[in-house]
Amino acid sequence: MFEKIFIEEHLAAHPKVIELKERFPASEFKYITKVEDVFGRVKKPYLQKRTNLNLFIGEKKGQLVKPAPPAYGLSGEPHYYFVHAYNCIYECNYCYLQGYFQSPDIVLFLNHDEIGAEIKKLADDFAITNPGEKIWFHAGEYSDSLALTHLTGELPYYFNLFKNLPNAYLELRTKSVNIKELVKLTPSENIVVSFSLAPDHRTRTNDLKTPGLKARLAAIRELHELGFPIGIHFDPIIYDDKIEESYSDLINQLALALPPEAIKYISIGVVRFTKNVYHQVLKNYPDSDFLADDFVKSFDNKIRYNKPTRMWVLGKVKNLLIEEGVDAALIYECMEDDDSQ
Amino acid sequence: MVKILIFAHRGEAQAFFTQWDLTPVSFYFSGLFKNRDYFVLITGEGPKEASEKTVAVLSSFKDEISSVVNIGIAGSLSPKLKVGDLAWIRSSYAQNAERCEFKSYTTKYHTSIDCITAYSRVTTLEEKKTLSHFADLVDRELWSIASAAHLFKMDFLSLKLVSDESDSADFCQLVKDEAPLLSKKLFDEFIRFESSQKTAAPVVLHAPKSNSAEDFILAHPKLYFTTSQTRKLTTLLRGLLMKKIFTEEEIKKFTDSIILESSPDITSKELSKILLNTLSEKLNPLNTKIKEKINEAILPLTDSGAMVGFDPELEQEYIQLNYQIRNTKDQKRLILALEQFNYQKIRNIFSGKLED
Repeated sequence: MFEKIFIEEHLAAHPKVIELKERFPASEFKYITKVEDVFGRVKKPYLQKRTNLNLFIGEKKGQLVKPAPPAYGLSGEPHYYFVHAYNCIYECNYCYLQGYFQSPDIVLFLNHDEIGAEIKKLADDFAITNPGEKIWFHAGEYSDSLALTHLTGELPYYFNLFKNLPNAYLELRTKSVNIKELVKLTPSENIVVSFSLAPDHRTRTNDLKTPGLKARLAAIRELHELGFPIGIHFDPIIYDDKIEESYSDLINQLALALPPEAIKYISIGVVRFTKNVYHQVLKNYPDSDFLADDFVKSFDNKIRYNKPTRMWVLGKVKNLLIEEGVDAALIYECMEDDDSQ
Repeated sequence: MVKILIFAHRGEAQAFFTQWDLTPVSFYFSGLFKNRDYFVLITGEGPKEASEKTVAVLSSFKDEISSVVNIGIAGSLSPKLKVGDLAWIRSSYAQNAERCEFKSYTTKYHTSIDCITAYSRVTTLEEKKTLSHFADLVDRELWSIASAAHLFKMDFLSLKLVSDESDSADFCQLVKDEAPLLSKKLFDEFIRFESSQKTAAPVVLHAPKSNSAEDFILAHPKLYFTTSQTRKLTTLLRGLLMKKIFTEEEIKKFTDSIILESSPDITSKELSKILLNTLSEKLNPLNTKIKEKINEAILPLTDSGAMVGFDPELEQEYIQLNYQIRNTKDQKRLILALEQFNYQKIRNIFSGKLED
């Protein structure tokens, strides 16, 4: 799976490193001082992930928990994200990661204790200043939260941490169906597993190398039946002339796996790119059908559909969800400007 | 158009000189040769030499040269590459004074092997170890050559032969001992590659030009497109094909139907404009609907004779009026139009409410 595995020297004796050596005997293990000495130092073409992907093991430095961008989750509550990995094994052709790190290699950080301590401090401080209110922490900003959990093994740590932080909520964002580590754990009301979904034809044409829609819905059903709270992301939504029909089908299928009243929240967001990512998409996936759409530079300099189209798409999908029985208060529009909401 | 084969040393190229009848080309420096099918350039060792000479030659002969091939030896940085192995390079990186150049260049034909160009000679195993984090092979010229090819928008390829292994301190021993043999090996592989390219079926990315809908439309005697309209047509047709809204044949039939339905008096320019608008509607019917709705909303203003503008990108919510008042009648007409105009309709459109 990994051609080379780079390890920060001080982690050579870490149990996770020893485990990786046993699991990947064919990989070449290389020892480096810091991940940043090698990762991202040269521009490595994104699509090289198809032929040989490297893995970096290190410790995250600097600010470990960061405030999330506006309109990240349900409004009115503070949202933070934490980073314990960079990059993803999947290949969604709209993904912003292709223009973000300058390398598709996977980085896993092992200092969960330090990340956890920062989360705990923020949650404890928030509990003092805002008693009875919720604070959110999101995993999966720069990676899929579940896809590699069989290798990374951090889920028990975060479950234990959040079980002792009743005012704090954890979101694990994923497109994966790799739930075998998750189902070993006891569900907790404040730990939400959120799945990104798109209509079947979009999943096949845009979410390359990811599990198909049926498999994702089956994982949702299994986790729901086990008592795991589930969130849903319809993000990014790509416009086409079948959009109403295809989202209606998707919502019907979702309702069969997860009753609408059981959805913790659902985000809806229309496809968008930074300028750099848009150029990477043009380079990496020039035949993607959505590139034929009219995009404009929008309010935050991101490249999006024009405003009436975005609002029309969001309105249609939101109405379909409400018609299916989803509480409107649990639907939020992701990364849209304030006056659109 | 011919390829240019670029070597650092004459020794690496000697089989090419033996097998081909290459004659020197009179240029600003020695080392440039030519036969009917190829240029051959000997740059000398190192990135500076390679860069200067490649740029100079490409600049002078860019009308004759189609692509660039760097051929030569390289040191292995990976245990998977052994002395005598041949590799077509994937990505080219560079290291200069312990810093990596951020920019990289990637070839279209490769074997998943990357090469890093070192600005100075690699003389220790420690240096090899550091470079091995970035690539499988190390050389002294490729990145400069790739950079020059990129500058002139030419494809580049690189064929390397491994001269020493990753754990060997015996740098370039093979080169000293077996130059004729290694050059022959490079020559044979290059010839094999060239033959395979000639015999391989050409990759058809798009329909052949002569049968394309675009050619059909552009050559149609009843249509006339300006340069910017031609660009728009290309974009629209590509979009329609990418989204599988139409096939090439369907576009041709659709064009014929538009022409047949048009008035016999219409000019070629007007007809072309109609065709572009209709194709645009087909590609993005929602945008068409949005524009129709805006035009409907501003009708009281346009009927009054006002020129009404709105953001052509449909991102900013505003309308802009241009109206000339020459007498009180004009003034009253405008007041009436403004009373009849309902800005809320514009607001609704920008909020995505397109249904009546």
